[in-house]
Formats: sequence, structure tokens, C-alpha cells
Amino acid sequence: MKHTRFFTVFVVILIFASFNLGIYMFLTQRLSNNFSGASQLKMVDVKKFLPHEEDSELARIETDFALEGDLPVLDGAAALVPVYASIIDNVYPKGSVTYEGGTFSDDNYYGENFAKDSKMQYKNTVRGYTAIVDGDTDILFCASPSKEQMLYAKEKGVELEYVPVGLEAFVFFVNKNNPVDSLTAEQIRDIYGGKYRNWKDVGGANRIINPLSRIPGSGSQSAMDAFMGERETGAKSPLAFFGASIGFSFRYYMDGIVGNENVKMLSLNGVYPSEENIRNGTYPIIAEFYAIYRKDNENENIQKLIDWLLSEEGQNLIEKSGYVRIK
Amino acid sequence: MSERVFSKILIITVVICILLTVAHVIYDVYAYQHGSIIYFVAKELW
Repeated sequence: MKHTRFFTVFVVILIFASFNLGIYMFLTQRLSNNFSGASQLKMVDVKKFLPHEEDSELARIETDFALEGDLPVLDGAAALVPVYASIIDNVYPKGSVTYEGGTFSDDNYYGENFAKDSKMQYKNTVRGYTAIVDGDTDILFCASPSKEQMLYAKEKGVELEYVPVGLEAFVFFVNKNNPVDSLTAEQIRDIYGGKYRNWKDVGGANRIINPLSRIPGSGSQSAMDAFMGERETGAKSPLAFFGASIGFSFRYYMDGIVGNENVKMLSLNGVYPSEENIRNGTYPIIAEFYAIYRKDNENENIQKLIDWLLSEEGQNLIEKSGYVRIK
Repeated sequence: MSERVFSKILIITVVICILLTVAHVIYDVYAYQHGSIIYFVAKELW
């Protein structure tokens, strides 16, 4: 009798342990590296891209162009840190960037800290758009704004100038073991629209599709909203957590900055998002990225810097930073 | 061990297991909302 009771308690514990182990295998272990003090992801390791540091992973070119005087404060999206950090590295004087490091906290979402007078800042897209409208940043390097971000500028009575300075592919990715290598744009819209909920519907394995999204206002989510157009995002399967995922991002962020070998980018309409296919325009979703500034900003160096970025030298720098030139 | 003591032990065990499971699920939902989707896809089981 006593043994039976101990066995009953043991079985109860075993059932719960098995259930939790299942959740851990399917879910928890896939999330375990993403916490910080403020529960935010450190999206890019800015320390690798600090201007005027010998071991920085920045693009360097030969140029006689150099800014002096009132230096514009540059900020931007995580994916474009290599671009605007390279600009500072090549044309700003030494000492114009003060990196203070920092750890994750509720006030420091990305765990990165630049001094207030530093000409390089890193606020990423959502906070970066607020900063450019509020006048805390002179030039912001980002993808197209979301409707909310445009509305914020309008409410503040601020007109922004968007100058396209480079090209990038908007890409979809899956786990490298997912047998699907290519989808059509319409199939992807149908997946996110809720029409297709199983990979076998699009020629893949018999697994539930888990269509992933990003935080509202981020560059990639705004690009996804544009890709979906009038199409509403549909509800996903309640068991999608346990399915096989599809996500979206920008090519260089995925391939060059994060560089995770266990994911693969999908061809779209049969065209792979290679640099060559972006340059020749065959990849279907090419997104421009912009240098954005307030029209009422009187800093003369802004126009000088933008003119240089659109010159042969500036476009070479964009290319050497891993992106595709616009000219 | 009396029937009453056994019932208490069983109930306490079940309650503790449920609380731990709920905490686990809450952690996952929170982490899922804030995590890297690239890492999430990379660690997928196939």
C-alpha cells in the first residue's frame, strides 16, 4: 500500500516533468539566449563596428573628403550600423565618437551606450525615428518608416527628407533542414494571410507553419507590412509554436551581421537574394534604405555628406559595407 | 501513512508541479515575444 502511494506521487511528478521537457525541447531552448536586464535582444554587437578602432569590422576606402566643423550626429537601424559607422570612420575626425559601453537595463534596451556628445549613436529604428523627429539626431539611416512613424513626424509638424543611398533585399528564411527552398510571393502572402497553415500545402513537409513577425515599427516589420499590402495578416494555428517557422529580415543583417549557418534564405519566385540578383533587379523585393534628415536642419554638413554618399566614393563605401549601391 | 496525509502530499505535489509548469509557460511567452527570430528558427527541431 505504501509503495503504491509513493509510486502514485512519482508518476504525477514524472508526467509533469515529461510535459515540461517537451516544452523545453520545442520552445524554451530556442529562446534561452535572448534575455537581458530589460528583456530585449542585443541585435548587433556595436563594439565590432566602432569607428577609428583598428580592429573594427568596418569598410575603409581611400578618400580626400573629410568633414569638419559642426559634425552631424548619425544614428540608425541595427542592420545599418556597419554603414553609418563606416562613414564616420572614413570622413569624421578622430575623437568624434565616445563609446561608453554599458550593460542591458530598462533605460538601455540594446546594452549600448554612447556619450551624449558622441557623433555616433545607436537607437535602432523605433527609437531612432523618434530621435530624428525630436532633433536629437541629424541623419538617420533606416528603411522606410511605418505609418505610425510618419504620423509622429506629422503631429510634431516636422518634415523629413528621405534620400535613398543604397539597396537591400527583403528576405524570408527558414531552418536549413526545412526542405522548402523557394516560394512565390503569393504563397508567402497566403501563409501570413492564414490560407496556408501547413508546409505540405506549399510543397514541403507535413508540419504546421509558424509565421513569425517582428515588433511594430521595426524596419523589417514595416517592410513586411508593405509587402502584404492590403492583405490582412491571418490568425496562425494555435499549435504554431510547435511548427516549423518562417521569418523575414534584410539580407545583410541575416547573412553578414548575424550570420547563423542554421538558417537559410528562400528564393522568391525562383530567384535567390544574392548581391548579383539584387543589383540586376531580378530579385523581386528590393528595398531602398535612406539617409533621413529634418528639412529644417541648418547644418550644412548634412548636404555635403549626402552628396558624398551618392558620389562614386560614397557608393563604393556602401558596397564595401556589404550592401548594394544605388548608383 | 494515513489516507489524509497521502492526500495532502499528493495535492501539494500537484500544486507545485502546476505552478512550475505555469511559470515555465509564462517565461516562454515572454521570451518568445522578445527573442531573436533568427535564433528561434535556427534552433528548430527537425
